[in-house]
Amino acid sequence: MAFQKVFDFKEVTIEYRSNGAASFQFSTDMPGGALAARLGAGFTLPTSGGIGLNRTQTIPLDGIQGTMYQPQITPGSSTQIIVLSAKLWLRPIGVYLDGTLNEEWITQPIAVGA
Amino acid sequence: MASEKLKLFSKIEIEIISNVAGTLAILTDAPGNAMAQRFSFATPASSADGNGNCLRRTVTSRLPYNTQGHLIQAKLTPGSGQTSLYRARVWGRELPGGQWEWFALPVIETPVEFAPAALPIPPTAEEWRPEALPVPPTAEEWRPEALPVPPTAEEWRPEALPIPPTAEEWRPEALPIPPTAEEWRPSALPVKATPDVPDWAELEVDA
Repeated sequence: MAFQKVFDFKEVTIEYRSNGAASFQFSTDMPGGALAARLGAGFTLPTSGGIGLNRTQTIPLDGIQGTMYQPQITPGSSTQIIVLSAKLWLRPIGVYLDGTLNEEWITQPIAVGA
Repeated sequence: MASEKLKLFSKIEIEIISNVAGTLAILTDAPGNAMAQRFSFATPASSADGNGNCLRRTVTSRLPYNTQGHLIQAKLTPGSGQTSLYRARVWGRELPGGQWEWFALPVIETPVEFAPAALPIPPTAEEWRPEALPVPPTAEEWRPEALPVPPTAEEWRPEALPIPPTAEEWRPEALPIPPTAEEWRPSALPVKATPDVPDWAELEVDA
């Protein structure tokens, strides 16, 4: 069984202010064992309408897993962005086996019943 | 204790998401009173949804009719891929007269709900706060500033005048008197010598 917990990622919610578009990227170490971008070309964070206006954006992360993650926000060349908060939703997978690492699940010898 | 009674096992069921086939082996301690593999079967890979994500599925297999033991052990070995295991249970009954029932095998639970995890973003304060600029403050009150005038001492101090000091003791001072010699010395008196042959002297005679 994996030494580190593997997490299922659901979504991330970002609250920000910006005067232009920005890009959000989410990297994890699975599959492959190395941090890599999992959102393709990235998710575009639209402008909030001005640096004085708040916007909340939720980005789906379904099907993404990893033991490590790295969120990244990159503003456009003429964009200023203030990231106020961000919340990631995840859950640990109880038993995650990576066959490429010869991991296996094996119980103790169990006396079932009362 | 649960291990006192022999159990008969009929089925095993697991719940997985897997992108690769694997093998599930069942070990028991009977017969022989030693843990040994009694059965194994291939677990298939899960099918994928439209986004390519594998779906959760149950995999059930019947066990050989004589699979029994005081102890049971399960071992899941995936192929060269990833497998998530969510549940495992075995259908069995106590011998000789127990009822068939599911016995859960211990699998670390995967929560149904997602939990929030705050990302490390420093908070932005809702309110403005004053920030002092680096301007030295001007004091409300005047303060004395000493001018560069050397202070006049409150007390008198002795000041030595330039008078050579008079010695406390007498010292001999030689007076300017030529010394008298201890010995006599000859001194020629102003007496004209008488010649042996007198010289003639011419005297003027009144005519």
